[in-house]
This record gives sequence, C-alpha cells and structure tokens, in this order.
Amino acid sequence: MSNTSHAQTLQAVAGKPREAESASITGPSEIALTNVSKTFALGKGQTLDAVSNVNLNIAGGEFIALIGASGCGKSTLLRMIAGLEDPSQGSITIAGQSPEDCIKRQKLGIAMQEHGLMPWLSAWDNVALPFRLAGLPVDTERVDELLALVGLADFAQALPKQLSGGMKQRVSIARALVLKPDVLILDEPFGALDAVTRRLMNNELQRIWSQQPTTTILVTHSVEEAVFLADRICLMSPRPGRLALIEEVELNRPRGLDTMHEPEFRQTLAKLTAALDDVCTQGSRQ
Amino acid sequence: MTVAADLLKWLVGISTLMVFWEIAGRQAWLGGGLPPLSGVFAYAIEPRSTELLLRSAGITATNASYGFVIGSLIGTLIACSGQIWRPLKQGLDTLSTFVNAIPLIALGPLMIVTVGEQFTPMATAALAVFFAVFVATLGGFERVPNVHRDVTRAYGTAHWRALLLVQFPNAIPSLIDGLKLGVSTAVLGAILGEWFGAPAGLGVLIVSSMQNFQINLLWSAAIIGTVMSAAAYFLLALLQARLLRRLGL
Repeated sequence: MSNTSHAQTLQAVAGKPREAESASITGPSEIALTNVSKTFALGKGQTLDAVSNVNLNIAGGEFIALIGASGCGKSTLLRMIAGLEDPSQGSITIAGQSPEDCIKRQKLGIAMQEHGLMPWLSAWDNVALPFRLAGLPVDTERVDELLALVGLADFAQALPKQLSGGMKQRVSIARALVLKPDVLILDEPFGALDAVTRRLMNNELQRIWSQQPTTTILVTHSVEEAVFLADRICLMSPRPGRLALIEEVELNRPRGLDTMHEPEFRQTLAKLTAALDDVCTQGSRQ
Repeated sequence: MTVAADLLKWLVGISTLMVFWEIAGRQAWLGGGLPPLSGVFAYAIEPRSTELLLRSAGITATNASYGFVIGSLIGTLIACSGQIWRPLKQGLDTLSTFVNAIPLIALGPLMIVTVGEQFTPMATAALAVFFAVFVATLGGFERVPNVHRDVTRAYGTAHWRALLLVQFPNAIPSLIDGLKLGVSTAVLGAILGEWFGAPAGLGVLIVSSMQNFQINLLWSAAIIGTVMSAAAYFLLALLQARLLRRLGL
C-alpha cells in the first residue's frame, strides 16, 4: 500500500487518547459520560428507564459507534450527548464543559435519519444554514468546499426535492460539518437508504472523516456500518440501555470498500453480530 | 393546473345555481322576495344603479382590504411573539379564543361608540380575519418537523432567529390557508360593520334597500358582495400555488 504511513498516522490520531489535544478547546473534544441515566415520565406515575448508568470515556478524535436493539436507548443517549435531552442522573462533559456550552460555542454538528433539510433552501443555502443559525457571517468558500467534499458541487443550486435520498443525506452531513465541529453526532444518518447507496455513503463518510478527524458518535442498526466506520463499538443491552460490551476495531485506516473483504473485518462483524443477538435474546427472555 | 380545475368546478356550480334561480324567480316560488336573476341584472346595469353599486362596492372593498391587512398582521405577529416568548403562548391562545367567542353582532355597536362609524367596518373586518390567521399560523408552527427544531437547537440559535429562518418559512403554507379563509371573512366583516351605521358601503346599501323594499337593489348588493369575496379567495389561491412552488413545498 502506497499510503501506509498516512494510514498509520491516521490510526495514531484516531485511536488513542491524546492528552495534549484534548486539553485544547478547538481540537476534537474528548467526551466523558459518568453514571448517565435517563428516565422518562409516562404519566399516571409510570416511568420508563431508557438509559441506565452509562460510563464511557471517548477520546478526542475518536469514532464511536453505538449499536443495540431498537428502543434500547441509543438515540436517547446520543441526544443527551448532543444537549437535546438532559440526563436524569449523572453527568456528561465535552472537553470538560457541559453539552449546552458546546452548543453555545457552535462546536457541535448533527445529522439525523431524517435529513432535516429546509425544503425552501437550495443545497448551498442548506449547507450555509448553520452560519445563519449561529448568527455568523457566511463563509462562502467553506460552504463551496463542503459541497465539493460531499461531491455535490454541481448541485449547489438544486432544491432538496430535486435531490435523491443519498444526495440529501450528503447535504445533511456537509451541513453538520460546515462549522468545523469538535463533536459530530450522527443518528442513523443512512438508515433510510438502500443497501448499496448505504455502503457507498459509508465509504464517503469514512473518507470525509479521515480528512478532518472529529470526535464522532454514530448510532446505527447496522453492525457492518459500525465495524467499517468506528474505532470502538459500544453495544447496548435492551431497555434499560446499559453498555453491555465495548469492542475495539483493529482495522487500518484509511478504510475502503475492499476493507469489508478483509478477514479481520469479517471476524469483528461475526463476533459483534453474535454478541448483539445474544444481548437481544437475553432481553426478550426476561 | 389545480387552480384551473377549481375554477371550472366553480363555473359549473355557479351556472347551475343561476339557471335554478332564474326558474324559481320566473315561477315566483318564493313570492316577490326572489325576482328572476335576469331582472336583477337588468336593474344592476342601469347607469344610475351601476354607479351606486360600484361606489358602494369600492368602499366595502377598501374597508375589507384594510381590515384584512390589519387583521392578518396582528394575527401573524401575535402567533410569532408566542414563539419567541414561550410563556406568552398559553395566555395568547386563551385571549384569542375569548376574542373569537364574542359575536361580531355584539362587538359592532361597541365599535361604533369606540372607534366611530367611519372605522367600524375596518375594525370588524380585522377582527374576523385576525382569528383565522392567528389559528392557522399557530397550526403552522405546530407542524415544524422535530428534526428542524433539533437542528436549530444544536446551534444554540436565538428564538427570534430560529423563528425567522426555520419556523416561519415552515408555517407559510398554513398561514396562506388562514389568509384564504380570512379574506372571505374580511368582506363579511366589513359589510357587517357598515350595517351598524357606517356612512356608505354595501352594508349600508343592504340595510336601506331592505327597509325601502328595493328588492332588485338588495339582491344586486348581495351578489356583488359574494363576487368580491369569491374573487379575493381565488386571487389568494393563485398566490398560494405560486408561492408553494417557489418554496419547494
């Protein structure tokens, strides 16, 4: 491989905690979850324990995937990290500060399963939206750069309804990245796409992420997607969601479509799929 | 295209009604109170009556337009302010429901003694429009997709900025629905306001022709009022189709 040294550098950057950078505010931020629980009130005194006692330290620049059965609290955990929900117990810090502070400094990027593009704005204006939402002057070069990065430079003036599902998700990811976030939150961003488009989008995301390593947390139903993208995979048990298993993915970066044919990839995939099945059947037996 | 189809349906409906009216009038099914349509037209196109009708219709149109603009603006602004200051929303909802619960017929005389005869038609028209637009705009805000709210929250966007950039554009289709409903009620509100004692307008014409048993004039005024509110509705439907296409919705 001609770019082995590049791959090693990236792996070094991505894999392990880096004390020097995690202290800086502008680099990819480390995230610490301490005893995080979330209980929803259902009314009439009933409550739902969505997330229970999660402890996790995420290194700056690390890519974490959260997998688990439907309704196991993955998205709730993600929304708490993004500051969209408050934990009932425990604390979450991003670079030593609360998610709310992270939001106020515009250091967070989010992309969800629903693309959430504004139908009345062109692809370009949708990518530029975070500047306007944050009350910052629009950096037109940055917007052009991001559209080119997701391969949609020729579709800058297209409205969302004129774009395919995969294109809309790419715009959504460009929007999430445009303010150079320290933390990238991805909630099933490719969940609504067909299998082929999804694999291609994973490859794109992997490439984009290697170009600007950002602390990333991805919620997904696809073990394959998790293994392909992540440095570490957190497996959550069914409700109440706890961390059942944390698995390190030992695959070199950059990863490409042929990575999926490597034996290590197959092994990790098989192991995690078995663990996921195990955890889910345990849950249903209770 | 749908606008053209709507227009065709209207035309079919209206011509059926006109034929039925003509027959009913000629056969005097409802006595002297319902003259044949042709007789009403013959009366309306006499120069003296045409001049009177157009002058009155112009005044009513002006009253309805002012009322429509004022009512729409107030309705939209109040709905928007509830989005910026959340605690205000509940109170505003209750207030507007109360305002709507007061019958216009009771408000008319109150208007006469407060804003005066001159401005009562505008005020009653504005009140009628206000509620339709307020409720529709509020409904539009309720339908903002959750993922749009998440995006605005993830950037710590100020409420007023989120309103301007995300919530208001999302509410536009619903707001236009409200305007469509409101524009007909504006004409109705203006005529009602004139009825209470304005110096001139279709409402005044209707009261005086009723009291003097000028059946043809009464029907002419009623028809013109109907045509006016239908035309305004159609104009807004046209605007709606244009705007929604431009907004990509």
